[in-house]
Amino acid sequence: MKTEQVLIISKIERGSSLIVNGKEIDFPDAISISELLRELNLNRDKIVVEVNMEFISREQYSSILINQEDVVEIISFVGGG
Amino acid sequence: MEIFLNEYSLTVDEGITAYEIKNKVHNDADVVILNGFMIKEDNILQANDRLTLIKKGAVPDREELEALLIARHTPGVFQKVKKARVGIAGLGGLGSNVAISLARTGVGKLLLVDFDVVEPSNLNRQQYFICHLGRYKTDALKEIISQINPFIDIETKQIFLDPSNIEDCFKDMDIIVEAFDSPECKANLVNTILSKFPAKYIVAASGMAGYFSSNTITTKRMMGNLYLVGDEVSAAQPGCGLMAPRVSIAASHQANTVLRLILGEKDI
Repeated sequence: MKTEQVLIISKIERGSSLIVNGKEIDFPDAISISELLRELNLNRDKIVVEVNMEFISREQYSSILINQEDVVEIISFVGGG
Repeated sequence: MEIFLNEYSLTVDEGITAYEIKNKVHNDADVVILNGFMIKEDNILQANDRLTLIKKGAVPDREELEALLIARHTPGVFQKVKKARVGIAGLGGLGSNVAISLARTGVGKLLLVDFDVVEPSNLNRQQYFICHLGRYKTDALKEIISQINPFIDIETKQIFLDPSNIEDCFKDMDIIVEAFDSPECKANLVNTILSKFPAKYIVAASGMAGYFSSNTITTKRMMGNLYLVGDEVSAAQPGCGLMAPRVSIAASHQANTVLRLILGEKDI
């Protein structure tokens, strides 16, 4: 349940499928963060992104391309405080 | 040998006991605290022990008060937290609780930031009183803290934080607490701090609405110097409110994470 908000995307052995929250998703090679967010229907205004444990700033979302060996994590903030 | 009596250095004979000192200097004291622990039996003192004697009902002068306030602290903690500078972004259910917790711990400098005033629906989880309705949260919280620990250096800013002013606001802080309500504000702050100040710590929170199990609220270490508290899913939304118990659990996770970071404990 809680893992729905932290997406862990990693390579599996055969080709370009990815595992998102334990589920495989189809995912083209060399996709940008912006494209990935669109695919996952995530609002870029509510998230923080890391690739391979490195923080990715919003300015880099279009330029950084994710390859199969990369590990991406997306924190999606929910309201309340 | 040297010991500390009410935080003042005192030279005493080897083998002296806590009660011997009490009987000599403060015979009517009814609370005897040795190294952060209230003792019920006499103890032989060792060098550098910290002994605190308190008379219940007596109001100490300002100098003595600071020593007595921290008598139950783990020894050594106060000296470190007094030098720390912590910024708190948002003074609602999270921020008001975090600020008071850190003030009780003796964190030397707190920067309190919020644009809003106290209104009645805040009182179900935020640390304000009816007498604060209509007042700026910054002013109300500063007043409350001054009644708990008047030794904290408190700076307040009545501004709405956005990516244009976050950097300037928090440039002098060591640790920043994200304590907003809206997910966009949370993401703005965390993205800006991680971009502009990669060496600073940021302790954020996401998911503390409702009355779900307490045990789903956790602290995680994320990328860089980002720590994330909450269950990550329980959003405040129609049908799922925000109430004191879970919000204050999350706030206490944040405050303890700040304390641990000040003391050099980076693991969760």
